[in-house]
Amino acid sequence: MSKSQMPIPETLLMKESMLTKKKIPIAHKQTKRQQQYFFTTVGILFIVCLLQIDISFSQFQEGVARIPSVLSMMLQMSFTEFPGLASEMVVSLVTAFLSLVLSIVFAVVLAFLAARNTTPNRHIGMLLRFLFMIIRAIPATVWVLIAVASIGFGTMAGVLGLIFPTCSYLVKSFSAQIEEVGQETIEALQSVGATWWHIVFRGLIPTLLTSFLAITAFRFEMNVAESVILGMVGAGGIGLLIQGYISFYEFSSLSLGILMVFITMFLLEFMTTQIRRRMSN
Amino acid sequence: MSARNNASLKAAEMRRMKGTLSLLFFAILIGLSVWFVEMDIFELVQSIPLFFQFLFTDFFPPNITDLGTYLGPVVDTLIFAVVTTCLSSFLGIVIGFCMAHNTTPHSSVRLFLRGVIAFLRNIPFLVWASILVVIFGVGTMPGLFALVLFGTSFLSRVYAESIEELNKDGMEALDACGASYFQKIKHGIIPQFLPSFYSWTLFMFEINIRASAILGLVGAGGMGSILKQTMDLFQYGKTSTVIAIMVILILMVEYVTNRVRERLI
Amino acid sequence: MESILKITNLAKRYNGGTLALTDINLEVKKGEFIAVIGPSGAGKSTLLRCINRLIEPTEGSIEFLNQRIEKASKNDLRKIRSKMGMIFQHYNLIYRSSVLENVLHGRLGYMSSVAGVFNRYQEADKREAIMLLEKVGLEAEIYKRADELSGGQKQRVGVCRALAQNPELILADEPIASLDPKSSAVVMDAIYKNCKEQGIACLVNLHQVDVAKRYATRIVAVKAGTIIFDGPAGELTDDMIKYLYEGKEQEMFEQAN
Repeated sequence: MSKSQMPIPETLLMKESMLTKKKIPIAHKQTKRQQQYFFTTVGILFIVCLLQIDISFSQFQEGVARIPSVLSMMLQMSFTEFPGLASEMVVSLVTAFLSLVLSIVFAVVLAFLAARNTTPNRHIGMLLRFLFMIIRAIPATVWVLIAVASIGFGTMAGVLGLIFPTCSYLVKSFSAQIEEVGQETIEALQSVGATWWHIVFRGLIPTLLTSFLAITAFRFEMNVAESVILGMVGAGGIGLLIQGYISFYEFSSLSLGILMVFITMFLLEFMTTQIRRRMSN
Repeated sequence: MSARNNASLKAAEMRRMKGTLSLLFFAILIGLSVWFVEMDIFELVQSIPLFFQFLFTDFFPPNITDLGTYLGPVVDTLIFAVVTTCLSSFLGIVIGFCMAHNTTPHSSVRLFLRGVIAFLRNIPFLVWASILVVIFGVGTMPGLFALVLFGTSFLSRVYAESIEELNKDGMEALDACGASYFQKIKHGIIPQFLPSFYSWTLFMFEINIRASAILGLVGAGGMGSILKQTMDLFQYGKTSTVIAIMVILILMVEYVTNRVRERLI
Repeated sequence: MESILKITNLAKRYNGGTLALTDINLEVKKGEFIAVIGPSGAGKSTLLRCINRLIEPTEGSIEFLNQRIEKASKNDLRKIRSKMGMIFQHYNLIYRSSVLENVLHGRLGYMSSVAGVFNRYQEADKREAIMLLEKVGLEAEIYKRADELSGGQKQRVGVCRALAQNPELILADEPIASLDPKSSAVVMDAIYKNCKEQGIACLVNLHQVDVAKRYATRIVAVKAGTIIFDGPAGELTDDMIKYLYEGKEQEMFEQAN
């Protein structure tokens, strides 16, 4: 919290400024200091890093020169690939959906074991939180790559690989909710002598159900985006097609693919916002 | 009394019915999904132990030869994240201000920008990265552009939302004092917007580190390219080293940003 | 005494058809201290906000220092507003800025856009702002953040901000509605003394009739969007007050406490 300033007598202030021609300060010291600190550090970091990057200007110019031709090819959207694209889009959606469903099953249980106020054993809770922190730090795409390497290309690798980041994200969000919101319910039920199972299943889950659903809906959106991305590294779905089009310069089909992804994700985002809004009412 | 009890009983019944119906709906959805992608449940269950076996035999122990060669890409990843976050933040502010309805210079500008940004935002950034690789060739440039595109679209949206949620009272007072548009922004909006700004920009930095790390998978530089390399060569021991470094990097960045966030807000 | 504000046939109709103000005619002379009273929803706030065009009037004309407000361009409106200070019921401060910064916002209307953005306040302005804050007893709070203050202190900052504008007219919209009796007295005294000393005219919205009578020489009573009384405080009888609050008697009783 902010600290208060020592009162500076006005006469002293004015005399000082008149003598030294210094300007009277007007800002709240701490806030101003934080601002200056933040922006100077960031500014310095930025310039230092910028200098490390070497960008070849000729590469840039050549690239810019290519843009018009690529753009014109993309604008001639070809609908021949539509059926294939549509079905692959559904595949991506399904991958996201299935991995989410499987993750929820584990995540709900694990979240209650990991949250500080509902864990039956403090050490198990710490261990779980540590484990999931590591799992979460590994980008989802990397997980899918590992899955692909172990069980081969295809949707299964996608679903399996996505389970890890999804589950860890859900565990983190769910347990955050449990720790924040659940405390009251826990205390209330403890005072009437309920067991751990009662507290979790009769008390906490009903209370937290709506926020869990909102979190899940949000994660589904993210999963679909991941699903498209992981398609580009070989795990099936529309991403695979898109990467193919890019590699083979088939820009007219590419633009259709991009449009489909956009429309799907836009609709998804719209639905998720509606769900979240209805949940918070 | 009994009428009220009946009404609330009915309501509870309805809720239970809704609950079971939705569960049924999801069960059907799951069934359809599995059928559509022709996934064999048994295969999936069998593949799980396969997965873990692979994980523990091929990925452990990590192969730490060539550790020195990874240093360059790690620094690259960091540098990309810093530069692109700063650039996205700057662009995001300009665009965000034009998108929020209490600070937009004109409503047509606002609608146009919202559309463009929504488009950019909903295409996963790796798609942009890949396209840019085709246009600009392999290397750091397409990766940087992709990150900036992605970052700007994300930040301008969250900045705009934060600006719209700001307290309007102070702005009313500034209006009544006769302040101009820019004066109102500087004295009314910016001081109140800064906490959200710090928070979201730091969050963007975390996201950018992760995104930066996987850019290399489509040829755009950073640690991702080593990852791809080692995996293509089946040198999984080295892959796990790279992943370990990635994890440490990401965790360190998360730690630092959390500390900074605590001190600023 | 010249008149500085002249309102003729002012009316405000909202989109749904609600008539917030009808046929308002009011003249304010230099240095007058006028209390505007009436039950909630009568249109007092709307009236004040029409004067500095925070709300756009639908009909009528408002003349301030020989300038027509309702026709003024954006730039002219800025200049007009800088001569009118406003004090708000909910203080309307910028809470993450310091007290002194908030008071100095009053000078923004006099500075060019660029100068205002870069905080190029004159030293004399800063000194005057500090003196204003001392006069209301806030010298120890000058560099505190506005959100660290109590309600009464925040409103005193609001008063200083309005005074920093060197205005000809101060519009105060229920300045003491959210304050306890002690802070209310401090704030009303601050407004009254400064206005009297510097010859600033003042229109204060109040729903406490006793406070109105204590400070104002002239009282304007608004009921359902029209002015039903406009005259010296002494002529306001209890019957008139009862008529004014007809249908909203509980507000009358709230004041008795």
